Formats: sequence, C-alpha cells, structure tokens
Amino acid sequence: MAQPAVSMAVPTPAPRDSARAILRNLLAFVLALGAATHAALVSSDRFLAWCEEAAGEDAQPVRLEATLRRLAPGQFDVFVLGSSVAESHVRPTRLLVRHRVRALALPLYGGTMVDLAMLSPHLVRSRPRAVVVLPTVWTLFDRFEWRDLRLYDAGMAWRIFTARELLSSPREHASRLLGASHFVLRHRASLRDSLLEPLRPPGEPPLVYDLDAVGPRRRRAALEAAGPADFRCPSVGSRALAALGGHLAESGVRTVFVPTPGNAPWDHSPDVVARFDACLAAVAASTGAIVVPRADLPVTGPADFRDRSHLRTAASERFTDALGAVLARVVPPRETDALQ
Amino acid sequence: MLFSSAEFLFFFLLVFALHRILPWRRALLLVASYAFYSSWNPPFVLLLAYTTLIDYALGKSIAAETRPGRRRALLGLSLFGNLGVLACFKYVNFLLDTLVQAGAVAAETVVPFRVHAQIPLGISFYTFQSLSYTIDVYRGRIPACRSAVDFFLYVAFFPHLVAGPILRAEELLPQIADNRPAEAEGLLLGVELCLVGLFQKVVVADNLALLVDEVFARPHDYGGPALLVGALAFVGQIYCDFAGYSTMARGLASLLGYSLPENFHYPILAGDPITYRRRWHITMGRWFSDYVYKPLGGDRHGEARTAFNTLVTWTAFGFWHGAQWTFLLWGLYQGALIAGYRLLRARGWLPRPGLATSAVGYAVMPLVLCLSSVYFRSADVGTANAMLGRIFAWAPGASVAGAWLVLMFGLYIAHWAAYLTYREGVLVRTAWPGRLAWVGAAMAVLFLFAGAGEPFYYFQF
Repeated sequence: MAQPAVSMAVPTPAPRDSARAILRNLLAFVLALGAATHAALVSSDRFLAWCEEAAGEDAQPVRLEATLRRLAPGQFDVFVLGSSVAESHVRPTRLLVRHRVRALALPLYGGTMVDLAMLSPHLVRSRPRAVVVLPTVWTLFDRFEWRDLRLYDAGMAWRIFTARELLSSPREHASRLLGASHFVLRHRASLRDSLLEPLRPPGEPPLVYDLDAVGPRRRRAALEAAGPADFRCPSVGSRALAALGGHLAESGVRTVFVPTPGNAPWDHSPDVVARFDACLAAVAASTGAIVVPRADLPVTGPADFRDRSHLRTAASERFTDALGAVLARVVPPRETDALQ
Repeated sequence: MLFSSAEFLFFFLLVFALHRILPWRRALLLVASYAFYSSWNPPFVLLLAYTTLIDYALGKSIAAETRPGRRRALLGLSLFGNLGVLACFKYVNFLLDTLVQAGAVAAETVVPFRVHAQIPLGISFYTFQSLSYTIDVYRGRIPACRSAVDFFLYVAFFPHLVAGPILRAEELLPQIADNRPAEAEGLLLGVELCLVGLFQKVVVADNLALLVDEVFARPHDYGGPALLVGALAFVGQIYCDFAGYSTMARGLASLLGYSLPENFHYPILAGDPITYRRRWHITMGRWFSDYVYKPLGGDRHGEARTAFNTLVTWTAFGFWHGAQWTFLLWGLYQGALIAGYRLLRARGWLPRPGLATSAVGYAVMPLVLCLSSVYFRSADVGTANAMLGRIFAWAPGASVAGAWLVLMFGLYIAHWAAYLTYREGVLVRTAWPGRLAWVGAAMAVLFLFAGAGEPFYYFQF
C-alpha cells in the first residue's frame, strides 16, 4: 500500500511536568534572569552612559549610580557628597588645578542626609581616599518619610534606623528591598522616562507625569515651615551622617565633614548654627571623621548667595580654596613618577 | 497590602511556601486571610468575623428548621444583620444628608446619628458573598456548611476578599473541603494570570490614571476634546484596574489550588449594552440577577415589567458602589440603556445583525460607556453635568498631549488582538523555552513600565 505523500501530523501536547519541577524551573529562571540582567547592565559601559544622560532632577539617583559604577577604583582621590550644594559650593576643576586634588562632585538634588548615606557602598566600591560630606543645618531637621527616600541600601538602612522604624512602613521598605536587588527595579521610573522621552512631541507635557518630584516638593514645603525647635540632635539626619561616617571609616576611607553655609533664616540663627556645630562634632568624634572648623572656611554673607542655598561663583571659588587647603593635608598629592 | 505591591509579594511567597509544606492548609489560609485584611485596619477584622459568624450560625439554623415561617424569619435576620451593617457604614450619612437637603429635618438633628467611621475595606463584596450563602441555604440549593473553618475561609479567602470575584458557596466550599495544593497546570495558569493581571493594573490602569486624575481634577480648565479623551481613558483605567485585580485574584487562587470564575470578558469590545453587561463584573451581575432581578419577576411579565425590573436592578447595582447620586445615576443610565436596547430589539426596530451594524456597535459602545463613566468618576452630579456639557459643546480649553490618543488607540487595538488571539493557558500549552520567554518578556514589561502604584479603584466599594 502506497504511503500518503503528506503525513497527517498530530500536534503533540507539551510534555507534562510535576508541580515541583515547574516551581523549581520558574524560580531558577527568575533568579537567573534577575542576576544575569543586573550583571549585564551594570557592566555595560554603553548602558551606564545612557543612564548618565537621563534628563530631569528625578533622574539624579540613576545618574549618580551610573557614574559611580563607571569609575575605575581609585580614579578620584576625593568625592564631594551633598545635595545641590555639592555642585554650587565646590569647583572640582579648581581643586585639581590649584590643589592637585582629583575630586568628583556628587550632587543629589534635594537629597537628604539619609539619601546621601545610602550611597556609601557605591562610594567605597570606587575606592576614593576621602569623602567630603557637605551637611547643612537641615541635618538637624528631624523628619523622615519613606516615600521621600530616593536611594536605598539595605545595609545602610539597618545602620540608620531601628528595627521598629524599619517595620513602621512595611510597604515602602519591602518595595525598596526588592529594588535593592536589581538596577532596573531601583531606577525604573527614570529609565522609563528616558525610553518614552523620544515619543513626546516637542513643547508638550511629558506623557508620564513627574510624580517622583512630588516628594521633594512636599519636603521643601515642610522645610519652609520649619521653626528653630524643629532643629535637634540626634535627628534622623545626624544618625544618617553617623552611619555614613562609620561605614566609610570601616572601609578605610577618610571622611571630612564640612559645615556648609547657607542663606536661609536658620542658617543665620546663632542658636541653630551652634547646635549644628556641636552635633557635627559629636558625630565626628563617634566615627573618627574630620570636621573642618568654621574658622577655616570663608565668611559668607547674603550677598554671596544667589538664593537660599547656593553660592555665587566668586564665593564658591573661595569656599573651594579653603576646602582645598584642608584636603591637601588630609589627602596629600601622590608623588608622581619622575619618568612620567 | 495591594496585590501589586512588593509587600504583598513577600507576604504571598511566604503563604505559598507554607501552603505547600504544611499539612493544615485551611487553617493557614484562614490566618493569612485575616492577617491580609488586618493590614489595612485591624479593628475591622471583628466586623468581618461578625458577618461571617452570623451567617454561619443562621445558615445552620435555616437548614435545621422545617417550619417555613421560622425559616423566613431566620433569613430575614441574616438580611437584616448583613444589610444593616452595610447600611450603617455606607448609606446612613447619605440618607441623613438627603433628608437635610430635602428640608425634612434640621442639620443639627441628624448630628448624633452620623457615622464617623471610615468604610471597611471590601465590605460590599464580602457582605454580599456571605449573604448569598444564607439565601442559597434557604432556597435549598446548598446544604449548610458544617465546618466553621471552611465557612470562615469561604468569606475571607484573601485573593478575592476585598474586591471579588463574588463567589457562590457552591463554587468555593467544595474546593475548600477538597483542600489540595495546586497541580502543575494550576501553577502555570496561576503564574500566567498573575502576570496578565499585573500588566492590566500596573502598566495600563496606573499609567492611564495619570491622565484621568489630571483631567478629572480640573475639568473646567480642559476643553471638550481633552475631557472626552480623559473620559475614554477612565473607561480603560477602571476596566484594567478592576479586571486586573480580578485576574490577579484568579491567578493567586490558582497558585493555591483554587479555581475562581472569570469576572470580565472583554466588555469594552461588546457591540451592544446587553453583551456589555454580561461581560462586565460578571459575578456581581450574576448576583444581582439571581437575588434581585429574578425575584422581581425578571423578564416573565411583559415588556413594561421587564424594563422596570431592569431599571430597579441596575439602579441598585449602581447604588451598591456607594452612597452617592453619581453612582445612582450611573446605575440608572446603565439600566435605561439595557432596557431601551431590549425594547428596541423586541420590537424589531434595530437593524439586522451584520458587519456594518456590528462595526457601528463596536464604535459606539466605548463612547456610550465613557459618558456614563463621567458620572462614575466625578465627585458630584454638578461636576459630571458640567463636564458632559463641555464635551457636548466641544468647549475650548486646555488640551492633553497627542501622544495619549496614540497610546489609547494602541491599547484598543492591542485589546482586540488579545480578544482574537489570546486564550488562557498559554503557559500550560507551551513547552519550556516558550514559557520562559513569555514570563521573561512579561516581567521586563512590568518592571519597566509599571505606573505609580495607585490603589485599586474598587477597594473603595
């Protein structure tokens, strides 16, 4: 009997697996996918460069993390860490030219001391010789909301907060704990905005509104309403500062606290400033950090500021020179090879 | 603890692992369900327990009682106990406000009677589910449940506790008694449904919410076209929000070895109001049909009575959502739409079914829905009327980014594509490489394009 020219193929069902095999395979896949994509992304120079180009104030955390991941260990002697004052008060080029200190400013716009402390593991990985921290009197402003936190590291969170505080908002904490496991999960809002940006017609509002900006805006409003009694020590900010200093000291990185001048009414309040200086000294004593005395910093008045926080160019150059003199002692320039 | 939150992910993974390891699964699920509910407002756990307890006790009493009068009285007690609590938390203030506005009583007189507590989460859902049990026992459809743990779990089973699907006792109690962990197919289906539901909720609904919240917050600033786009976006948001929750509920239940019924079946793509109602919030529609529409006489007493019953049923359905005139009008609108359509069809005044009429139906229904959605979403009737007025007058005003229109049209096309090609059980039918590719792609989209983590819209009901 002749065989048919075309065989009637019967679709075969997918092979059946046991429930245990399915769970094992799915779990292994999800973990492997997470680990592989994380490793691939954070080792891709092109991807990190793309992250550094993310636009907008809210993208600052992803830009900072991408920058720190792209650095070679020891590429910079000093990191200057602060909110936007790290950009307005310090001139890295001047530090290099005049004081031979290779410094990188890491400004986290609107960042609190808790945010800045969360960067510590990234800083340590880049192996600087010292980290200059620019705390303002806001460090004493004892208010914190998980939803406002822009950076997160489980280890640093454990140093800063008590177990009770960590459990007070399990939703926020769990979300950040999950985010801590993967680069994209941490920064997905900024990455998504970067992806969607080309779709936006010029001049029209963003397709996805900038909801993350609400947090800093709300915090700024709270700060504006603050009175002298709201500045105290210890505060969540001073605890974060202590955690940052402690972590850096344990990692062999010197920490320099610079009492950063500002131009808000409380920056000119002798009582608040005295409380801040005492707090800074106490934190430094407990962590082995160096505090730059106010006497070593240039005197600033309202005319030196362009707003409530940020120095004008001339004043920032004086501030940078004063800082450079301190850094020259803390991190003396390495002897260069005579053959170079 | 939202299904779409990391907090819930950790909670569910723990429950899931224990459920597969420990032998006393029912007790574990009951404890987990009460823990889940208490994460919102712990004292309201007592209210949930109270509702469950009275229906458990009354269900047994009704089953044991043979005298019709006593049975009716016991059922009345259950109705009073359940609906009384619901009325106390949801409708008392509305009634008092209405009386004051009508001038029947002075504002000061009603002050002592006002309820100041917030509405317990999901009270409308679990009350109706619990109530359906006693009614079914009374009607002799099901025997009374003997196990208190089973009955408490039937009411409190956390995947569907706060926003449905609303289950019949005959659907869930046998599964609870069966008490088996999920088999291989149930696990795969559960993973698939969770991912699909999450996509609907966090990618579609939460992102559309950005536009909807903006437009509905300032309706007087936006022009008619922008308001129409906002209203259409709300149709998409509310559908994907609620359907996403229901799909996730089914997925979570499937991972635990339970099967829950479908609650939405592409209602946006319905070509007429009756099909739409049959596909939207199916389990609640079924509840109102069985316990309100049919007892009223259903469609057995002529056109006029049928239309009246339809209007009453859907107005009650609207009022179930909350004590606001906007919900009442929304329900009335839905009822009038269905009654009117049914009347036209019965009289033969509608064009014969065909490609052209279907196309018109598919194009018109989203617009019809978006008009009713304005009432559903607006804070009050005045705002809704003003918004509709601006839409119909095509009033000038602020516009929204054109990209929103492109996005929404893309979603509509994608929805049609899903309707025509997607069938549940993809992971069951596919071999491992396909499964992993599907899961990986779904996770990538979810993590990258998830919105701002809005709470589920239907939680307020």
